[in-house]
Amino acid sequence: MINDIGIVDTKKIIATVAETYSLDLSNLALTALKRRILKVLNDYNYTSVVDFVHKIETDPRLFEKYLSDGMVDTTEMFRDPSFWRDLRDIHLPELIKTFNNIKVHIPGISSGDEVYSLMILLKEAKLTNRVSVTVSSLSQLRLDALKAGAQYDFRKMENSDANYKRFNEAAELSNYYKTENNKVIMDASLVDSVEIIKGSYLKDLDLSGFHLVIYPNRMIYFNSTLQDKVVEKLVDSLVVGGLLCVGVKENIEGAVSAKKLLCLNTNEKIYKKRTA
Amino acid sequence: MEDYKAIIIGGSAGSFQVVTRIISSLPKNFPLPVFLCLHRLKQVRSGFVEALSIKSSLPICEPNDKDSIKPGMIYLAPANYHMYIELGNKFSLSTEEPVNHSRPSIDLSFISAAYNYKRKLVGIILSGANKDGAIGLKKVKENGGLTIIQDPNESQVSTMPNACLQIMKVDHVFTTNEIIRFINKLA
Repeated sequence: MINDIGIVDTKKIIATVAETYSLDLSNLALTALKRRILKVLNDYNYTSVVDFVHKIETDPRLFEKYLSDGMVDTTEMFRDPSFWRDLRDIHLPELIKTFNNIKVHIPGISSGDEVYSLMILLKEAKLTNRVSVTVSSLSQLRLDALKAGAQYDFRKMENSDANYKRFNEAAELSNYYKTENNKVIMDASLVDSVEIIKGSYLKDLDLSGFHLVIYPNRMIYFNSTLQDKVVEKLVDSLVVGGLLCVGVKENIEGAVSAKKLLCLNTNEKIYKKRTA
Repeated sequence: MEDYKAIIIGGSAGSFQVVTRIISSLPKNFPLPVFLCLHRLKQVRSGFVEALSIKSSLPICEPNDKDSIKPGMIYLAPANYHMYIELGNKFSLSTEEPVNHSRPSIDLSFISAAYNYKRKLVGIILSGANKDGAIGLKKVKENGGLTIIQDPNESQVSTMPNACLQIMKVDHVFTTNEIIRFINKLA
């Protein structure tokens, strides 16, 4: 087991990924990136970084797996239940009142926790026919997994179940999943209508016209330079009056494009695009 | 005395009173940042800072991601995030999987602080019911920092300080009063 990875090795891996796949990891927050690399190294039983770098260079299919496995899973649906409650009770109704039909984007999905949370919310609020949902990810594996019904370790469902209770105390999250061999499998029909797009919303995708972008706890893995670019891209993808939701402990107010935003909900970090 | 730049404190069950006593002893002009990584309920976001603030003369906050670290502030790891100290004197937060069933994980906060402050860091592990923090404190030591545990005989739950003793040689085994006296000498 490798316990630690130094800055030299980290930079070597970043350079290799950039050269081989034109994928830039250099603007990721360093501590978390190092931990993700360590996780992949140890999950695949590497004993040296040199072997790992060689595999990245020579095996694109394996690299795709590393990329998918290296992504951060919060493995938690309805994280910050008060956010989902406010979305359901205040912000979605207002958006629908203003725009009638709305388009939602959840960029950069990993385990799809927010996608399932949102689709359950929409179903319960009987809003499925008023709201169309698009999700995007760099990882085809993750998109495929989402459509097949997100899977969770049964022992780790405790948090999601507790979160959901705080979101809707009248029901149980287990109404939406089945349990098989210690695995929880979400009801895939929830995401039937979800449009999936493979690619980087930053680089490959030209997305616009959204009324709501849900993007919690992704930019915490970026440095300020990348966060700035991403905020700009996401703000551009919104219509005026549209909302950007980030994680409750994220601060995007230093970003250049933040001047186009108005903070609607300080506790839940929900921002409204006030100008083009 | 070594010119320390930061103090990091980890604790779990039985540590709340000790933390309160330590931070209430610190003078208004205390020159170092103090990081608190305490196990707490995942779903409860509010209340903890307020409870700790009652007796503190220093301001206490839960940092946002990318906030700058300022001297004389007490920073509490927010609920359901790991809290890292990054190069460039900033925080970063993470929703990576819990470690030792904990998010925030004391080990992860300590490891990142050890990496960034090296020998300029004081690491303190208090009472607690699991072994989170031991590996982190060991990293503080390996990076040249100073390591302290609350005396297991005084700790309400001694598992956490004892876990440190099992894997490393700590610099000081202190009672709460001794911890308070030591930290105040850094002012």
